[in-house]
Amino acid sequence: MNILLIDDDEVTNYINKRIFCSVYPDSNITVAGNGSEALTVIENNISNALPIFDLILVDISMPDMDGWEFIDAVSENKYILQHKGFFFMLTSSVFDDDIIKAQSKPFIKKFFSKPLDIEKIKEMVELC
Amino acid sequence: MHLKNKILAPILLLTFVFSTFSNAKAQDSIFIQLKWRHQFQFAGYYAAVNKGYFKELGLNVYLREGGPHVISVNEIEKGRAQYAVSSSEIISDYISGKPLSVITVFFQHSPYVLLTSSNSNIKRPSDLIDKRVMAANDQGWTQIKAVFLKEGIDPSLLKVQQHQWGFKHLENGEADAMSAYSSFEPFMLDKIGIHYNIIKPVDYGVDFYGDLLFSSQDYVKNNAEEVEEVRDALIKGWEYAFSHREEMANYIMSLPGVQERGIDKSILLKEAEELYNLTQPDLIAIGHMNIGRWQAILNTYKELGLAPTDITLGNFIFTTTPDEYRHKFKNAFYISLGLLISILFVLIYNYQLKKEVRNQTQKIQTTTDELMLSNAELEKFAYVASHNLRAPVVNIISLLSLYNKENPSAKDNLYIIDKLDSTTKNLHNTLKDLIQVVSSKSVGMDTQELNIEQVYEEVKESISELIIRTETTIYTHFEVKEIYYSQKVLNSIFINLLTNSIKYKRPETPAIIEVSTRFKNNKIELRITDNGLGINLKKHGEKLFGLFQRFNPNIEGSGIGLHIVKKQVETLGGEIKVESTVNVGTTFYIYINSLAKV
Repeated sequence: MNILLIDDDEVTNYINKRIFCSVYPDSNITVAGNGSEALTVIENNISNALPIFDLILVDISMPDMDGWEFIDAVSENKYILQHKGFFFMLTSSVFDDDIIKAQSKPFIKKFFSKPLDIEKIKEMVELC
Repeated sequence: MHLKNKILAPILLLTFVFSTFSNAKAQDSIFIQLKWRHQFQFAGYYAAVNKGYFKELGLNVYLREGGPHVISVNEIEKGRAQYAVSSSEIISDYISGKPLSVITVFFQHSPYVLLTSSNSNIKRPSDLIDKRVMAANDQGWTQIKAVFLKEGIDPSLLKVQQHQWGFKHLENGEADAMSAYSSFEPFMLDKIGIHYNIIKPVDYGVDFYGDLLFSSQDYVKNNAEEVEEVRDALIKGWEYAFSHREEMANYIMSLPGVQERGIDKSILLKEAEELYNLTQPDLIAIGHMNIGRWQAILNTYKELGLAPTDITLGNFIFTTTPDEYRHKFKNAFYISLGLLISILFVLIYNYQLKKEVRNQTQKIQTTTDELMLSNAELEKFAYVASHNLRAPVVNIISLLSLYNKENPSAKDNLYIIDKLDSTTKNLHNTLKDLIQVVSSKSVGMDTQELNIEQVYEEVKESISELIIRTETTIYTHFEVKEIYYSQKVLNSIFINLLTNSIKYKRPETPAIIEVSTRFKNNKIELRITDNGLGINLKKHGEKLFGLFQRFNPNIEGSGIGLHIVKKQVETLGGEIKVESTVNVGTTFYIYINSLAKV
């Protein structure tokens, strides 16, 4: 399974990698530190015909381009939209406003609050 | 006959005069037009009547049942009812120029939803393109239209047809969707065994008020006291209805047309539960409305092009006079009545009273505005603070769960301990920062005569090591030196802006900073310019001074310095501005109110 983690926090990325590997030991995990880095990674994947990401996990609060700006940029990028994997929010936020906002974005499959755990990963995979 | 009239006339006149003074309200019947046919949706109204909440105030209130052909706004306009129930959509009537006024809101969230038959597989708004939707203009259509516009779908792509208010059109496929109340129609469909999907506007970012009481602006203006009484009686009614649901359901079952529509008591109780959830009496006082939310609803209309951009709420919202104030007013009224003999005196008195009312109203308005502003700020602070505290805590929990207890010397454990250490320190720093932000709001106690140059030199001394190590050059030009200001704030300005200029310098170019002061438009302008990386203000401008906002992932920073400087400067009545060009440099201008002695 191909996974893209978009989060600026090094520790979070380490934790999430470990949890993913405990469920899917063969998974191939890429990390992007903010929205614009993630856009570059996805575009690069598409243009080099690399396997698309099955799961894309997006944090909200990140420097430079945050999660919402990233989601908006993706939804305006027809090029990326054609090849999209499944987007999930995975953030420290537990606020209703964020949850409702995520629901209003059509291609976010679901909103998850950190911490990531095995149950949440299973739910994500089932939703795909 | 003639004689009789002569005798009766003065008696009648006397009775009239007497009753006008003693109990004016008992004279008139008051009609409240309900929005729909009898059901739990109006339980608070029945309770207010049945429990005598209107009677005890001397009000003679009658409720009028609504239905598909009764439009509340028309009943008010024609004067057939003094009060009417509607949804937040009456704001569209207000926008179209009808002088209406909302008195109180009972359902904090709108019950309007779209129901689609489950075999149609319509689950989200985009599935409805080219499909037949039963809707009515005064029954939630704007909210549904707002959902489509927000989703980027042109509502003219739907085939809208007149609402038939039954389920057979949905059942036999003559319509694909219908507008409905989440508190009623779904339960009826459950009962007759039709399966359905629900599309809720709130899931798509449209959150309007639900049922509310309104009247005409004229009526509200001329009967302010009665309006408040009616409102308060209805609030009591709803409190009673929600805490006596069985009793109210039994009563509603006895009303005409209820059983005939196939409604049973269990449906009414389910309706009560859903309405309770929409009213949220645990969180929000029944009947409360928030001008900020109305503003948001109006803004949604504007964003969607359903309202002209220059329209304001104006007299649309009925505002309460505080109780204590009302008493003052009452007393003043009796006093002036007592002094009727001297017309002149009363005139003068009235003039002063009016002036006072105007002043007080202004004061109340200003306080409300200020409170709303600081409320919004607090909410934002709570959001950012809890987010930044929660993130490291969540990491600590996860790291601990990954720790290998069986084999403490496992290689990964070393890394985990190391990260636990850095995350805990990070949490500690966030807490320290937050404390600093909170305390930055209480500056200004230490205002004193200061020499700007001297304060600058002290700060420069304290960071001299950094300045030398980074080969930074600083030029100064202080046209204004003496200032009456807070030493703490001036320190904070210099420390934060100077270290920022050094931190965000271009990698291969030593920082050159210019610090200067001068008088400009009766204010002191403190200017700090650098030749650093610069900030893309088009992209980040709004967030620049935000709490914990960071823009450069490559440079360490907590994102609170500029936030604190701005807060402090503004607390002391000043202003901070910024100009910047990427890869050229940044200039901060701080305007300080001229407390200075030159």
